[in-house]
Amino acid sequence: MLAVLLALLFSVGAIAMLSCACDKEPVTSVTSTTADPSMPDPSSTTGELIPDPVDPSELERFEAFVTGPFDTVTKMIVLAVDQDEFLEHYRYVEQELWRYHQLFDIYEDYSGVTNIKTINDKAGSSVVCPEEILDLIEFGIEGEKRSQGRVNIAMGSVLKLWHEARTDSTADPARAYIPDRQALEEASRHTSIDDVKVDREKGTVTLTDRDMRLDVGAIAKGYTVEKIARGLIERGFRAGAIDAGGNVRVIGRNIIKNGPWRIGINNPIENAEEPMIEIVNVEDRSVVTSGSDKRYFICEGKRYSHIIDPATNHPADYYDAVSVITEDSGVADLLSTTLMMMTEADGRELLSSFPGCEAFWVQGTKVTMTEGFGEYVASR
Amino acid sequence: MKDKVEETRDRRVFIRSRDLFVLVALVAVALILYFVTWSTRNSSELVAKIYYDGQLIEVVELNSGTERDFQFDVEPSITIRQFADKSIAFMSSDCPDRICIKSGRIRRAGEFAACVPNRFLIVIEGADPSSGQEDVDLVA
Repeated sequence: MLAVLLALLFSVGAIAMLSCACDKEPVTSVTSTTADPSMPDPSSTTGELIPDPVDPSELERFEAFVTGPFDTVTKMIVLAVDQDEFLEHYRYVEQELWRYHQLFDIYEDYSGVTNIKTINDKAGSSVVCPEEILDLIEFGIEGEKRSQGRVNIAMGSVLKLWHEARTDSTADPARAYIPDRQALEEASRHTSIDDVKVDREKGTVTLTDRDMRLDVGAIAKGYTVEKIARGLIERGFRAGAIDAGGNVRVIGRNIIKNGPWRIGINNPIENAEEPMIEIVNVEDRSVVTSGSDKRYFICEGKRYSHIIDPATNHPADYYDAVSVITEDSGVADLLSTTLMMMTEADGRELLSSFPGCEAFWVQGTKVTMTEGFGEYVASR
Repeated sequence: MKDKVEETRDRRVFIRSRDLFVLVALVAVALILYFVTWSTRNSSELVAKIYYDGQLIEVVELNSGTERDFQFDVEPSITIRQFADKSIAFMSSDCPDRICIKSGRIRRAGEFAACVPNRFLIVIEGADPSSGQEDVDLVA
């Protein structure tokens, strides 16, 4: 009798403690801001590794941050059997983010690295570039065509004027200004994508217009996230997600919860009661939102977004935000920016040339979406 | 025969009273354990962790419901404010774009805000089961 009672009581205590421990998935966090360029190049791995199959109950959820690359915070979620497996993927992502950041940087020089800034500095002559840069620039040239000229990597000279105005106006709001119209017009004469030449055989990029500057800001982050996601899959990544400043790419499904990944769509209204306007369920997809809720400045009471329409050389303000779902994060990034610069009707027409891409438009409290996007929306 | 019956009954009574004592003690321990873990789960699990250059430099308990400012010697231009409504936000910074400030208040587990130029990161961890918040993995 006594033994039975004791066993009963102990089990009550044990259950009370266990229910506590199991309420949440185990989460381990790591943050880092340091780049370690001395590590070996991991992209030399060939062939796709298939991870050992394990029971979902053996998997743990790990979360970690990398602060700095692409001037943003990258959060990653990794489902792994142990800390070692997680750290291997984390280090790969951290290292690749910094490597691509340096290659695609337009502001800084790095010793021993030929990057986009090198090409800009040597405008007028041919520059031998790493393959990653040739790939990105070809993606950019193709992107200019696919976006009907709205996303143009050759627009650096125009974007530079807006970038300076935004930085100065943010630092000193009392003296906020927008770029001089004549200066914008002069700069816009040097933005023809046809003056960007890629020679695959020689491995060179040439800006045939000396006054042209490249700015890959609209495509580089999404493009990089896709490259890293593919790299992870090749390295035997089980499941997880990368979020580079709102540029989300999920790999596989949430095996631990035996369901899809749940991604919130950010509410562009600052400090809104409801920080997410929608939740989507996705597997092996990218969810990318373009918006002007964070990168903007105010001049004479008017708000100026960082998304500059080449047609007007001024910020495009058709929408507060546009989100795109498709597999490739680079395409999602390109398309969401493009859709910010056109009416929804024109956008829907453009979408017919982007198979597998779905869109979601936000203007104030008004929300519209393609039928296919609706299929991703989680019932609440 | 009668003596023997008396003897067993005596022993059984003795065991019963000690049983009761152990029982009460164990129930008390189990209850205390349960309430301690239950209450810490509800009152102190939602925290904001502040990182500088990848190092954890401050843990802010958001459920305390107080409003206060945090400043740090490593970067005097940064002010982080904890609000009474259990949220936290960057209030000042000398960075070029002020994206940290424009990120606004964050309050849900998994949300984060950063000042990349100043290498500051705030991450909300833990969950508040009473609030009925919807859980998402990430926000795009």
